Amino acid sequence: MLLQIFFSFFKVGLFTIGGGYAMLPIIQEAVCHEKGWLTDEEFLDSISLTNSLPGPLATNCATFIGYRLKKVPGSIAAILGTITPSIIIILLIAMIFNHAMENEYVQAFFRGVGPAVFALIVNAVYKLAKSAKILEDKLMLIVAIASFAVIGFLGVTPILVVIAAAIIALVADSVRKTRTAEKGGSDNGSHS
Amino acid sequence: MDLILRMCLAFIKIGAFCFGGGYAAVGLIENEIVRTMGWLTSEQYINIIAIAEMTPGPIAVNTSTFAGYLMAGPVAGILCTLSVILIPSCLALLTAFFFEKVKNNPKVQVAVKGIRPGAIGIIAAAGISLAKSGFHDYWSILFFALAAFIIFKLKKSPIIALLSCGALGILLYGVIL
Repeated sequence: MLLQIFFSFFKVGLFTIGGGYAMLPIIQEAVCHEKGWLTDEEFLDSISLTNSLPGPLATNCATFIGYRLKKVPGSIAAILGTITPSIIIILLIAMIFNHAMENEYVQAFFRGVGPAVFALIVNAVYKLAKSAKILEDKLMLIVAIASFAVIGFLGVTPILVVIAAAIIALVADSVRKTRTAEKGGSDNGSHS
Repeated sequence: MDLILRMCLAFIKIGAFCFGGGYAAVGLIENEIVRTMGWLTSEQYINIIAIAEMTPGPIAVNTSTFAGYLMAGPVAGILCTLSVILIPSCLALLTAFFFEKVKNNPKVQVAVKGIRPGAIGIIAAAGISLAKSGFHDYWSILFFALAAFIIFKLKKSPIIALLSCGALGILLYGVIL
């Protein structure tokens, strides 16, 4: 069973290019349909829960599913399965990388790729801003711009930014709740 | 040995605070490993991101393995990867353990949603800092425009944008110039 878990997630790690959300349908196919280990609903639960955690979605999801199948050993098998293809492929590329970079055509390739990487980062920012609906929420917009400014120009560590953003959201949420509770009178307050 | 230990600690920290998907890790690694520690150059790191995107597996895992290898060899590559997923995996384990209790905790959801604009700021700051070394000359603007066109207008995958810009790079810098 542990080997089966390992190889199912190994396949997932091997065949998903792009990572993150691209992996989810493939994990679902492997775990729910091919093996029948979880129902689709259990799988969706596992995503909505692990989605709020830091770190790669794919390994978090693998940890969670592995645990439900075979406790801690199941988790470890699923995690190792997910990351092993990445590690092997990247180490192989990394080994020849410095040597390959001496070739002028490889250099030319990466000269062209540099500005494209910037476009990928713009794309990541755009997608995250869209999914957070940042333009509809003034506070979120201010936090995003302030985070960018303090990290980029003042050299503040991103860790402080993450903690501050979470605290701001919690405070703003409780302020909002007290206000609606005051407006709504005595019958309000039982709902969150 | 001392260096590898410090690298592992840096990646554990990066993993613990990387909310908001693979590119949050890309941003945190830029800040910690490239800008603060100076263990990699921006040029190296841009190439790492490009390769991490074009190869199978999670971006954060690929980036950590590659960065670790370039800093201190294959063992460091593996250790940095395990470090970056250490805290997230422990948290995922706890989540599975307390499944019913955390299922609908509103406080956690508010905090996680609140972190997202912070993550946007982190990635954007890393982007600006990397742009300085990603843009070599005036031609770079053309490459950026091509990549943006492929991703935003044609809605093709980032990999196609990278490969197209790479191919055009070979043609322009390798053959014509």
